[in-house]
Amino acid sequence: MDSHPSPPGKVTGLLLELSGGNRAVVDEMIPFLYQELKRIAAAQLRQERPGHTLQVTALVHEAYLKLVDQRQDNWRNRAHFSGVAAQIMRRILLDYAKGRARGKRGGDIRKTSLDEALVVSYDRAFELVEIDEALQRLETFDQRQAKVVEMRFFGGLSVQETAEALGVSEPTVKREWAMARAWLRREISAA
Amino acid sequence: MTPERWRHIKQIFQAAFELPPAERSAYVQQACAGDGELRAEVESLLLSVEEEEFLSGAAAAYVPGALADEAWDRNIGRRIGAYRIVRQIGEGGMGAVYLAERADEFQQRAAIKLLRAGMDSRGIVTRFRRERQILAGLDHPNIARLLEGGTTEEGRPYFVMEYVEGEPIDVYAARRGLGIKERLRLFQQVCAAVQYAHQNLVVHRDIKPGNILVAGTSGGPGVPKLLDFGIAKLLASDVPRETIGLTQAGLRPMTPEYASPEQVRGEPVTTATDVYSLGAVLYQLLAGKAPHDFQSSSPAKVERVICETDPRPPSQVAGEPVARQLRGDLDTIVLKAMQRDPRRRYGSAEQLSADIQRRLDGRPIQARPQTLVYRAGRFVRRNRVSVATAALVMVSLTAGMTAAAWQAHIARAQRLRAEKRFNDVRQLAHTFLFDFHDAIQNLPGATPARRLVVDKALEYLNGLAQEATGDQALERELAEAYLRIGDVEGNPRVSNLGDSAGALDSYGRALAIAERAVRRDPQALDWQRYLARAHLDVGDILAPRSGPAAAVPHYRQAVRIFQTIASHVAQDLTAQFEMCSAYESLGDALGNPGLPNLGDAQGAEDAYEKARSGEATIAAAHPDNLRSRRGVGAMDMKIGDVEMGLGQVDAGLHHYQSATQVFEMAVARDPLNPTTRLLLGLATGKVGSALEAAGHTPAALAQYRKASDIQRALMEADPRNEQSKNSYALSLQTCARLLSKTGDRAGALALYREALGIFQQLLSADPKNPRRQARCAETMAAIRALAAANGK
Repeated sequence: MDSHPSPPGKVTGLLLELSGGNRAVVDEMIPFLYQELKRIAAAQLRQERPGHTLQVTALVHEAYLKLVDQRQDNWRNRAHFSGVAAQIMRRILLDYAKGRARGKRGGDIRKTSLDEALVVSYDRAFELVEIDEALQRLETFDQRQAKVVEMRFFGGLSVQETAEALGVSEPTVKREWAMARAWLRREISAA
Repeated sequence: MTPERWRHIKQIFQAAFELPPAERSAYVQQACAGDGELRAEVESLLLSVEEEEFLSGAAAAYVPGALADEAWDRNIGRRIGAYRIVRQIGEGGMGAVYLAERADEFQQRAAIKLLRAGMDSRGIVTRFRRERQILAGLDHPNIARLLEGGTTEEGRPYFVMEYVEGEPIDVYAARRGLGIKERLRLFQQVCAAVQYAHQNLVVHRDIKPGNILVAGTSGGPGVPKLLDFGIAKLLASDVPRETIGLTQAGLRPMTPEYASPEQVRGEPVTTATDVYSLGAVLYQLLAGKAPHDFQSSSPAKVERVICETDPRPPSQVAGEPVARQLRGDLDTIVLKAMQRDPRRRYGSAEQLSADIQRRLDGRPIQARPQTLVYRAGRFVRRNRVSVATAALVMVSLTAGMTAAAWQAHIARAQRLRAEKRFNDVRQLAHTFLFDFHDAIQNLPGATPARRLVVDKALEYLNGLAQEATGDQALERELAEAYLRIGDVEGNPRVSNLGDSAGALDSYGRALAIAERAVRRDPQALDWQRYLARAHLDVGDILAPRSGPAAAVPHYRQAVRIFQTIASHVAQDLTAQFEMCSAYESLGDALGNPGLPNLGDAQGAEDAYEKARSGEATIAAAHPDNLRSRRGVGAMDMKIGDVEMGLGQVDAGLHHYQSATQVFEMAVARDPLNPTTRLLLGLATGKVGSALEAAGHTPAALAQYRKASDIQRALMEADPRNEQSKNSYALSLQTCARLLSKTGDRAGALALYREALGIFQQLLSADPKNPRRQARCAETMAAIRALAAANGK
């Protein structure tokens, strides 16, 4: 079985390619980031007291420190990294949410084997799936706006970080964000 | 939405958004210039923008658990076998299930079940290797295929299975709002898959809605697929059942809502177990609820509910109008499949499906609702612990009914009712004799109760027989009852009361009834059959009790009659079988060198030959009949034994070789059957002994080695079986003896040492066992002798 060695050089190299305009390398980064983000998240949650809300921003930052050669640290790399991380956070959360939402839609979370404790915690997985579906529709006619949502909402990025990652001004991010929220809100209440 | 339209909306929206809220409306009205639709669109967006709550939190807060579960995170993107894991699709007590894609260009999708660390990996992998061919060979449209399996680098077992996208069958049916008939047809496909697997000797063991996914094809009817066939068995530990308490039930993969009583008790799992689970799934499909409602999740309580209560009929659980459709046949079908006693369930998934088909066709179903008698039997089983009390209750109850039956019999007006009661009493006797007795048979200290049960049953039958003389059916029941009682009293082949005198008396009575009936109607084959059986049973009691000479005449009678029956009814397999057993018993009494016999070697050989040809006839007509195939080989071995006893080494060798050929073919047909392999090992060893007797030492050694290899394979397949360990060590000893005969002392020494290791291991498990002590001692003596000879 392969495991994924994650030498900083590898991710850094991919980031440089991404800066150079090669979007295809995002796919190569996904496995590293997926694992790393989840691992860091779990470690943070273990240390924190119960009820603590995870700061996705801090998580992405820690992953960046770990995965990227810090000699190559610059705002552009960091912004790209954050952009990719947001994309991956979206995937992580949706994978999980879809699993839960499926169970809910069936109307029954089944007790399975005797040795399995039945854990039911309140979550809004279904809502998240709906948001994602609407966001996918938005992507078809306004990619930049959809990206803003991905970074702000899924990636936990600030307006400034989003602006850096997308290479646009902060007011633009604010406008796009406001409209995207309005549109998504309407889409979801109409559904 | 076209991008152009969107751009237009966006332009107006964003301009308006920059303005103070009070001025926006006027701006929008002006900017849209009479395009009402555009204006409505922008205005509704501006309205929504005021809802500040929306998307204000982080997405991660919507699913608090998403980032918390470390168990599976490292596996996404990981490569397992030829596959790369894409995402998790399920999680259970035994591990997690992932969606995976082939890492090469084929892009095939699969589901990977990755088991938790810390499970019995070695056992699972060993069992998987053993069963891989069978499981991979399951090829049915309703069964998800097992593609491969193995262990990850850190030793966690995994299975790769066909990926099925669909919903659990009950969810599917509910979401589509399927009617009862559609549900039944869907379920029949599941039965077909289970039947197919059973024919390939694979039991599922964990059938539940979550393992039956229906792919939602648009338009056409859904196709159910069963997942995880045979996986449960691979996961089940090899621990013998006595030592598995309920507390360890969690080690066995199963789902309480759909698990059968024998399963939660840790008893052997058979195809009947799957039939039960199918019944439970059907229950869920029809009633909309699982059959049992466990108030508590404590294993002890769950076990009690499953083993001691019957589910309510589905019609009492479902709401109207569905309940009306379930009442009657469907209640009966579901409850028959879910009988707690495996013998009372449908004999196969196919039979269950066939009854459903009858119901769909509007024909009468074969399952019978529970009758009074039937319930009486259940009552007995339910209360088997307080068996003595139960017996007394039953006896007084029946006595009252008998009296009532008599009186009613007199009154002509009540004739029908009387007949019914007459039959009830009769069936009660039957219940006593069969169910009641069987239920208490293995209880310690139940002997007096068994006696009481058997005597009472007989008393009722005799009473009824006097009341209804000439009732042939009743007489048959009597004959059957006496045979049965004889078995209880002293049939050496089953657990008995050790009363061989009583058994002889009962068998004698059965014999007398049958003889009378045959004199009255010599053509009645069923009576002939009872007669022959009684002769065979009497012979079996007499042979050890009074010697072979007393038994032989009865065996000869049995043989003669079975032969007549078999010749009258060409397809009568049972008669053929029984004839073969009678011939074998006759041969044993005449001249089996291993038993007390009459010294009539020729007679014994003739009898064995007859048995052999009978078995061969059955095997030719029914190639799948393993018992008869093996019977042919077994008779070859017995003939060989007789010949060896006479010193006819060549003839003995010939028959032993013929036996090995038969067993080899049987093994080739069914490579995993341990009994067949054991017989092959036995016959191969006998070939070796004949060769040794003929002075062909190297050839004998080769055969002994072959036999030893078979023993080793059997031992490895079942490492906890001490018997097979012992047999393997013995075979090593034999090989060592021959090696030292050929002068290869070093080789002999090595084998003796290996044998000693096993014998010592067996001894340490049971240090006071004198036989094991002796084995160790004799092997050590052989080693010492060889070492001394070497030293010279």
